[in-house]
Amino acid sequence: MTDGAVAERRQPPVDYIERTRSVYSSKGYAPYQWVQNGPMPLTHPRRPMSEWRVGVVASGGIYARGQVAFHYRDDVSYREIDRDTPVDELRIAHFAYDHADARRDPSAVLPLAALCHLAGEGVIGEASERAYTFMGGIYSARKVRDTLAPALADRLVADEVDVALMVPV
Amino acid sequence: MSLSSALSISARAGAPRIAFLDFPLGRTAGYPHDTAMQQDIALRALRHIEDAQTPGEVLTLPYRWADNDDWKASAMRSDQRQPRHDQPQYQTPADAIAADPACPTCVFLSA
Repeated sequence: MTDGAVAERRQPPVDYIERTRSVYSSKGYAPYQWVQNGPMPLTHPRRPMSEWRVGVVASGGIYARGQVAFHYRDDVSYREIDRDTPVDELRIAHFAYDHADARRDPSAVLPLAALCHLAGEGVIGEASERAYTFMGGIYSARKVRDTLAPALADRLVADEVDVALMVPV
Repeated sequence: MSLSSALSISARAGAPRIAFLDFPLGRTAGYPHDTAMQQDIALRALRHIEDAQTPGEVLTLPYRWADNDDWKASAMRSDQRQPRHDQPQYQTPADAIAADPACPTCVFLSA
């Protein structure tokens, strides 16, 4: 097969907003009110990439063995994940996505090992000492906006990260 | 920087920069066990922080989930959600036993 034939079969990104609306309405639910924010203004890191401390926030329901798992009813708690946690001690608790691959390899939803590798190569300064994780299936946008998001933002500021990767699932 | 496989949602949320990986949800940081891909995705996302010029600018990452896009037809066409239990949902029973109820690295917020 030529590359052209492959490209021809490429389809546009899945619009999950439209699809969830269809699924919910078919079950008789009112349309979910997705958050709508304008694009945030760009701010630029003050230091070169080789000096960045990189933070991570991931919503895939990742917890570490020894921690309390997430529950599935608007859980607005979060977990601190030490950057040196062995990948085989990471777990997934989430009710709303296919987490089969994430359970096989949590690095598929939490790029901590990748960042530690980039730090080892000198591409970035370091991965921040801890990543923050939560269970993103929270239906109350208000609870996220007023409680969880500000708490996570405060932690990233306190950790003095230069940039942060937000990793939804 | 949002590293995302749900482009419409991340755009609507107003992420200042988006690195879009066109994979089924649940593999946002790359194929499982493909460390080279995972490292490259993280690197490209970070470079986009430097390179993006306009708010909301999207970088489409150069990876495909499969040779064709047939998976998109069925993605989120039906309700696959599990019941919304209000107690911790451990991946394994052993995790429940290993869990420290006083967990110093768990942060519970009252909303």
